[in-house]
Amino acid sequence: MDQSQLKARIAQIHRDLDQYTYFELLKVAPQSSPDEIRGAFHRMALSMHPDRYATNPDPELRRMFYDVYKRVCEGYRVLMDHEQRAEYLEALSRGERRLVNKDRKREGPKRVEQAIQNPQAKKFFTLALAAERRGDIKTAQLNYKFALDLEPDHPTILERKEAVDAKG
Amino acid sequence: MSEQPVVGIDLGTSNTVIAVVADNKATVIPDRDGRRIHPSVVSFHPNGTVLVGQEAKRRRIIDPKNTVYSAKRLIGRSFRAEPVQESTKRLPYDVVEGENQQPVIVARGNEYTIPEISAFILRHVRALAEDYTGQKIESAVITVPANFDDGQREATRAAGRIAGLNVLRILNEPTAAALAYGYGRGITSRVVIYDFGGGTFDITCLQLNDRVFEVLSTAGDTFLGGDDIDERITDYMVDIFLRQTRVDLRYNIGGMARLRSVAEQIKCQLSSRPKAVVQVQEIAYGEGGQSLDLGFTLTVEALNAMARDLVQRSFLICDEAMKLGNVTATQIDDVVLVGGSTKMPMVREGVKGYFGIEARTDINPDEVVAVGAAIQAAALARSGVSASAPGSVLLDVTPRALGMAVVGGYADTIIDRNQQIPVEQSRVFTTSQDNQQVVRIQVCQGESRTFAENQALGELLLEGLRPAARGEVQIEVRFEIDTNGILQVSAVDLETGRAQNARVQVIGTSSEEAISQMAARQDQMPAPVDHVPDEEVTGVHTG
Ligand SMILES: Nc1ncnc2c1ncn2[C@@H]1O[C@H](COP(=O)(O)OP(=O)(O)OP(=O)(O)O)[C@@H](O)[C@H]1O
Ligand SMILES: [Mg+2]
Repeated sequence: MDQSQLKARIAQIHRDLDQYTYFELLKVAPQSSPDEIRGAFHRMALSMHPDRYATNPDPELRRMFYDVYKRVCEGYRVLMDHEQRAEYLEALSRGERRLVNKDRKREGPKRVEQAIQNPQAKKFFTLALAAERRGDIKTAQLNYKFALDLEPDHPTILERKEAVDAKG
Repeated sequence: MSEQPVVGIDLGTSNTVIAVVADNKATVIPDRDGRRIHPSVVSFHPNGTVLVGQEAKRRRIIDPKNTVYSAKRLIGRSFRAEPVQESTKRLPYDVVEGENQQPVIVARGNEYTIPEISAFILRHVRALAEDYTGQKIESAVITVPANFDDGQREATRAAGRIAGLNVLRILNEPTAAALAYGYGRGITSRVVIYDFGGGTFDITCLQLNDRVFEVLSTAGDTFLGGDDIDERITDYMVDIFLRQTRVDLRYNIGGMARLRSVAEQIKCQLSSRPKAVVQVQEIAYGEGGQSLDLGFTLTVEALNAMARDLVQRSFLICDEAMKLGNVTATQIDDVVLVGGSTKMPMVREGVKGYFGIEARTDINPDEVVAVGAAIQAAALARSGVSASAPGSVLLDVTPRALGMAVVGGYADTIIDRNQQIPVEQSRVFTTSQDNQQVVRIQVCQGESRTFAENQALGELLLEGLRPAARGEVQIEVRFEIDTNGILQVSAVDLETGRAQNARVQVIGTSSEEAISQMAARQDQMPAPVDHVPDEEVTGVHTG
């Protein structure tokens, strides 16, 4: 295959990437066993792995192989995991062709932590957390207090302190 | 177009090995004395020469303050990290905290980052390869332990660049070893690579399927190696000396350096004989100024008793790897031993007991990693257009989980451990304060639910959020690990589309600009050498 044929072929797969199910992408039947899926993944890797094109002069071609292979890995990951495979079949029946992490976790979105800036405060905070886990509420309270003295109004420290104060 | 040779370099904690592929055959490159493994030691000589290798290693005893060894234990880590603090207590050379929490070595009044130290070693072995091939060497694959984190990989890549090398790939040592073992043999087998080196222990389980090498799982400890066994023997000698002479050697830098060197020699001797008789002369001076010697006998059994728990620790890590890879020890077809410490009979017996099979004996544990790296370097350099080109593919995994800090001091995993790379995962988060305009995404590596128990990697800021009540603004955070094992983090405000996309500036590493400056500085310096031609040999007796 020459460069232009190769590029045409990968460009087509790349363009249609979102249309493929994982089964279609890996070229396996929906009832395939894990061993069959592994075999198919290995065949795909030999022809698609970005390392096979590492010195190809065309960056766009390299990028397309990378994107496609990344999706192949995603399919392999999902189909090889018992639980995720079941979830994927469910997603497929809803017409979705991918199982992405943000859908998979059903728990509500979490809030982004605001960093504790003061290193000393961080130390006390860590000590407090450890004490809390041991069930040593007194030590936890004390260390949260020290942490707050150094970093007043920090939402996380405040929240934890209120929680242990309620217990203690 | 003439083909420039490319090399594979195993940049070890204790030793470095370089190999090249020529005429489809990988060869380990010797120095002019015929030595194939080169101590990873850099010594700054009083006359300004930078020494690397065997000669430098000898200077650990006569010039411990200016002779740097085991730098790999410090590379890409925060100076403040506990294991680094632990190591520096034992190291005779000076380590201080530099920019971005990097450990910096001070020798003869000059400061060197750890990648600069490693770069001296790389420059030296590259020169050996240039002598050997008669051609310029510009590109290399450099290996690292499988469970090196993002910062350690970055810093190793920086070392390559400072040495003026184009780093084709940072490759995992066990994967390289597997490639050397299986390349061109067309076999289907499940293999374990058991690597017990000087500073690190690694275990990796792979499925080989003709030209495909898939890593099923990997686990390791970057602070478990032959050095730890040396320390045990050294402590034992300090105790004996204290009992025999009432002199405590622990505060005697020169004495300790000598004991460590003797300890390593004894350990190696005991790999091939049942006991060692040890005499170390003039190790210290007594009250009247008379010289004090140390003499004792050590048996293999006594050594085994001292080191048993260290070796046992390696098998706990094997358990972890087997579990992760969903395999049992009895399903393993072949065991490949890598690393100098696997020459210890106790280690070989342990491996045999654990896997129930004899390890391969036809593979050189010192050279196999460099050979695999050279094969991969050649494959990458030869890749190009044809999907049907010969050569193998290595399918590697993420060694550790990657996550970020969330409210409550917790860490939320975004990318799980042991995932095929490349991999991309994202998650939606919300703000934690009313009218919060900036979010700080703190990235960490490790499996703990508590952020502080993981290794902090660095942080990313997303600014200019819409003022709103806490929890209202949604931010999508995306992590991606590419085929080089390099992490990219991006954050998008889902409402405005405002995005931040960045390589996280990993704690303990240098900026691009600083790396270029260090490369320029080394280009100006005379090349490191392995001999000081006119040096008189000082009388040191050991053993
Ligand atoms: N015959 C021997 N018996 C016991 N130990 C040995 C022997 N030969 C070498 N060693 C030990 O092996 C270690 C060095 O191994 P090796 O060269 O594989 O490590 P490395 O690759 O530099 O380190 P790492 O892989 O941990 O970064 C040292 O601790 C050395 O003392
Ligand atoms: Mg090694």
